[in-house]
Amino acid sequence: MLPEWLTRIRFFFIRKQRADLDEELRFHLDQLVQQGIAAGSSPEEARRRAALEFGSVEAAREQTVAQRPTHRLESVFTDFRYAVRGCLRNPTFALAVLLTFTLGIGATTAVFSVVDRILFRPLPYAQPERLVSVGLTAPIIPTEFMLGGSYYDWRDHQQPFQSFTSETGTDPCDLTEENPARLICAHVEANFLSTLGVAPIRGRNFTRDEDLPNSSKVAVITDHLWRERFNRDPSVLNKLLTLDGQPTRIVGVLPASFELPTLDTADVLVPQALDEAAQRKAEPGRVMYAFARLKPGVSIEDATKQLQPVFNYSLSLAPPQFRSEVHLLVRASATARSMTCVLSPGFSLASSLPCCSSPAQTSSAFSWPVPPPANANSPSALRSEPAVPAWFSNHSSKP
Amino acid sequence: MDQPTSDLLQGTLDLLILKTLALEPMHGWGIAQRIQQVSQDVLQIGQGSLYPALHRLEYKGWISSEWGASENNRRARYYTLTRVGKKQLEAELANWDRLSNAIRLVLKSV
Repeated sequence: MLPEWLTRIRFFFIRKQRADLDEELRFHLDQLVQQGIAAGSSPEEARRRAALEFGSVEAAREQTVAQRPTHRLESVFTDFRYAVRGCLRNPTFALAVLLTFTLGIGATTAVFSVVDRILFRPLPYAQPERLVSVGLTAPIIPTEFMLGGSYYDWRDHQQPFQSFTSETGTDPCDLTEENPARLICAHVEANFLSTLGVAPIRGRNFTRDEDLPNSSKVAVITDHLWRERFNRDPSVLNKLLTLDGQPTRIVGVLPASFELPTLDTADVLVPQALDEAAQRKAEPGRVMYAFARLKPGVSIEDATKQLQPVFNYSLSLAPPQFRSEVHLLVRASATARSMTCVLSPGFSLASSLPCCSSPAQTSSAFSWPVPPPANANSPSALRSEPAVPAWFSNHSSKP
Repeated sequence: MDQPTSDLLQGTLDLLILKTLALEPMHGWGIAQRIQQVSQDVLQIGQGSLYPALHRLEYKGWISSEWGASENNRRARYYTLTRVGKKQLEAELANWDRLSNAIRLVLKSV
């Protein structure tokens, strides 16, 4: 069927002349007239009959033109040309349309690029369902965290996890050499990558010794930095970077898909190199974020239960006034943390909507909710119960 | 008004045109006349279906066309069956035989 295909392609470029088709149709009509005259009609009569028999020339022409393989495409082009001309004639309207499209597409893309990473794309870790985020929650801090002192206690005494690791967040760091640049460094424990199940595509992970304070500086760089700064040079390993004035040896390159569980951006991973002995003694110690890989078959609930003793121990060391405010939290890693960040504004908005709309709906039957006198006179009740539940219970008991 | 002759299935019209052109190159008028004569005036093909069909077949590469002189020495567009068209005609003939046999079988059996 190649020849047929080629022929069709040919007609993309060669256009049949409209005059040719007209002449073809005229010839047909004239033959019809000739036939009539030959049959004995007068020329006028023959022409009249021929025209009747022939029907609409314009319809035939249109139908024939519509057979061209590119006809549909051409009519799309025609529509497009028409739209452009219409827009040019009415610039204000065109501008409004353009602005609407621009903002709409821009906003959608922006929202999607955030939501895509968080909600739809699986995390680039081995068996991500076994990866959890572990920590304490306190009213003033939205995400779970650990403190230096307790982290090491938990790491040494925990039962439910196959491995337990930490990171201490990301910081700006400066590449102070030729073409200086400000980068973002993530400070991680030596077993951070292995706990996530991420292996460098080149080179190696950090060793335990490199994660000790005052050890020689090493770094694992992201694929992005490797591409942008080193042009994917395979000899980048063992090269020295001057990072914040310190010579730092590149020991590995991360896969392009790598993401921190917090979804923070980072260019370089460096060992956090915390002084364990000092942290153990410190009170409260450095803020850390802990991640762990569950042992096979252990659920998040099991893990929470098994961590309770070490949690209670840490709690017993905390100042008494904090004890009731601090809770233990183990949850599916990464997504949980970042979803709270992304969804919480939306969630609070959505949950505030019913509060806004319900008084409006009931306003015909109710005046604006007034707290019942008993509650109003009792400060303790007011303090313990927010206004809406107080009104709400009143609402439900009234009918 | 169009002639009530386009009751023919489109594929059948293609087949008739290809078969007619298998004899010799012909112009549109000639094709219509030939089909009408051979079918003893049963099949009358109006220009409203003839020319779209001719152009469609040409776009498919089954026939080709060029200008020539008609019997009464007028400029007329002559259509010729191509090599691909010949193959297509054989395929369509076989298909037609199969289909008409099947229809005959059904009609006989009832």
